[in-house]
Amino acid sequence: MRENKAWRGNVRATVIEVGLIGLFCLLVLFWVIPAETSGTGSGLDPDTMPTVTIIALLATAVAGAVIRILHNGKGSEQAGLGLAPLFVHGGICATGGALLGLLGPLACTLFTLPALMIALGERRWVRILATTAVGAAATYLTFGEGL
Amino acid sequence: MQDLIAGFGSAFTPNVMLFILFGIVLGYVIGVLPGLNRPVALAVAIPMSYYMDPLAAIAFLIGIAKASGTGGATTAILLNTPGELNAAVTCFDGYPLALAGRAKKALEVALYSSVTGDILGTIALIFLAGPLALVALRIGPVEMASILLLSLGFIAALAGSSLMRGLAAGMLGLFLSTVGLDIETATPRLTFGYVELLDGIPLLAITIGMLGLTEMFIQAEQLHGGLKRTGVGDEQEELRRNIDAATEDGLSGQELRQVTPTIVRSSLIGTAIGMLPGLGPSVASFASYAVAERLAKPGDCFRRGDIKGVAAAETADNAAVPASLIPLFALGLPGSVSAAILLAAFMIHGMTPGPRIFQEHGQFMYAVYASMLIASLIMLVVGRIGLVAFAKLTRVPETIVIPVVMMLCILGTYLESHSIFAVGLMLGFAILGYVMEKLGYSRITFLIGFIIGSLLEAAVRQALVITGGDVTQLIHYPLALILLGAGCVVGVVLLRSRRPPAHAIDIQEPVSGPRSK
Repeated sequence: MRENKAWRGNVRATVIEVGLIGLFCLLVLFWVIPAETSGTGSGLDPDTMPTVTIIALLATAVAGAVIRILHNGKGSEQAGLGLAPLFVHGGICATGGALLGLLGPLACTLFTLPALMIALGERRWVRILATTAVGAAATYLTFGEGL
Repeated sequence: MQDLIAGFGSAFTPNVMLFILFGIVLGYVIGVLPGLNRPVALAVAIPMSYYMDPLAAIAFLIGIAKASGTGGATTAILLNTPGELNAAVTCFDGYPLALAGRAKKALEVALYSSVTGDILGTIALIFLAGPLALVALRIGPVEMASILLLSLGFIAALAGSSLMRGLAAGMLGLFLSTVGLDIETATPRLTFGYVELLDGIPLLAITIGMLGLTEMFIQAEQLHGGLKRTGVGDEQEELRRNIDAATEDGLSGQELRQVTPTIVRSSLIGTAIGMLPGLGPSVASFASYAVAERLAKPGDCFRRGDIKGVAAAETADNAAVPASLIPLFALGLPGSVSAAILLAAFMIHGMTPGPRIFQEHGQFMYAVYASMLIASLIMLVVGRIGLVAFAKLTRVPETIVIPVVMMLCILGTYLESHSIFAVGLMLGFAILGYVMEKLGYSRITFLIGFIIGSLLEAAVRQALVITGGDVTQLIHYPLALILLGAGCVVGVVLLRSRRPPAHAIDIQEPVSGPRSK
C-alpha cells in the first residue's frame, strides 16, 4: 500500500516535471524561435540549430520520463525545492544587484553582506560589522574611483 | 624540450610567479574553508584574473585549481567533511588517522601525494596534448562533429543522475549557445532585442551563476535546514583536538617509502582516467582507492586509518586535474568542470583552446605548462609551511563564508562587464542551476553543452556543406561512423544498466551531496 503510494507520488512528480519542460519547449518552438530568428544560411538556416536542440531536449525529457515510469518510478525521487531560503537569499542578491546599478558597488556591499549574514542566522553584531567593514574596504580598494 | 625551456623563461618572471603564489594561497584558503570547493573557487576567481596579463591569469587560475583540491583534503581529514565527492575517499582513512592523533601524518601524506600526482599528470599533459592536437588538425568537420556529439553523450551519461536527464541538460546548454549573432548570416538569434545578447550569453555570467552562486544557495539551504555542522559544542572540541594533533609527529622516511608505490600507481590511474572526457577526479579517486585496497598487504588497515588510503585518493584526484586538460588543449573539448572554467578563462583572454592553439600560441602554451610545474612546487612549499595554519581556517563559520562568496559572485560578474544586465543573467542562471540540481539535471553537462555549442554548430554547418546535406555521404567518413556507432552502443549499454554506479552519480558535480558541515 505504502509502496503503491510512493510509486504514484513518483509518477506524479515525473509527469509534472516533463509537463513543465514540455510547456517550455513548445513555447520556445512555436513562439520564441519563429519570432526571434530570421534569414537563411548556406549550410543551416539560423533557426535550425535552436529548433533541433529544443526538439532533442523535449525528446530526451519525455524518453527519460517514460523510462522512469516503466521502471516503477525509480529515479523519479527528487530533492524538495527549498523555496523559502531560495527566495530570501535570491531576493537579497537581487536587491544587492539593483543597488549595484543604482548606487554602485559600495552600497551593494554595505547592504548585501550584513543582510545575508542575518538571513543565515548570524546574530553576533561584532562579527557582522567586522565582516561588512572588511568587505566594504575590499570593494573600495577593488573598484576605486568606479564606486 | 626547447619550447618548454622557453616556456620556463616566460613563466619565471616576478609577475607570473607572484600570481601563481597568490593563486596557490587563495586556492588553499578556499579549499579549506567550509562550503567551498574547486569549481566554486575557480568560478569566483575568474573575474579577479580579468585585469591580469593572459599568462599570469591562467597561471593564477591553475594555482587555484591545484591548491583548492589539496586544501579540500584538510577538511576531509580533520572534520570528515569532504568539499567535493573525490575528497570523500580521503575521509575513509584520513579521518580515522586524525581521530587516532595522527592528523599531521595524514595531512603530510595528502600534500606529498597531491603534489606528486599533480606533477606526473602535468608531464602526461605536456607529452600528450601537443601530438594529439596534431592528429586533431587532420580531422575534418564531419569527424569533429561526431567527436563533440560522442563526448557530450559520454559526459551526460556520467555527470548526472540519469543519461536522459544528462542529455536534456546538455541540449538546453546547446540551445542557449545559439543565442546571439548567427555565425554565418550575422542575423540576431533569440536576443529579444537586447544589444547585450548579440555576442551571446556571457560565459562568465553562466559559469559564476551556475557553479558559484547556485552552490551557495544550496549550502545556505542546508544551513537553514540544520543539515550542516554548527561549529559549536562537541564538534568544535573535536576540531580543536584534531588540529592540535596536526602539530605532533609528521611522516617518517620509512612511511614515505611505504606509500611511494601507491603514489606512483595512483598517478597513472588518475592520469589515465582524467584524460577521458566526463570522468575525472571523482572516478579517479574511487578507482585508485579500490585498486590500492585490492592490492593491500597483510597489516594494511584500509578504511581504519591507513596512510596508503589517503595517498591513493589524493594522488589520483590531483593527477586527474591536469590530465583533464588534454582533451581541452588538443580538441577544445572541456572534459571536466575545471577544464570548462579554464576554457572560459582562455576565451576571456582572447584564445580558444583546441588543435590550433599550439600553432597560434605555441610559446604561450609551453609557458602555461611551465607555470603548472612551478605551481606544483610552490604548492609543496606553501602547503608544508602553512599546514597547521590552513587547518585552523576550518573554524571560519559558514555564516561568514557563504555571504562573502555570494557577494564575490555579484561583484565579480559586474567587474567583468560593468553591466547590471550580466548580474541579472547570473542571478537567473543561479536559480536555474538550483532547480536543475534539485531535479537531478547535471549543471556540468549543461555548461559543457553551452561551451561546445558554437563549435558543434560550426562543425555541423561545414559537414553539411561538404556532404551536400546527403546523409549517405557519411560512408566516406569511417571515423565519424565509428564514433557515432560507439556513441549509440554506449548509450544503449548505459540505458540498459538502468542507473550508473553509485560513485558515478555525481561525477564532477560541484558538490552539494557529501558535504554535511
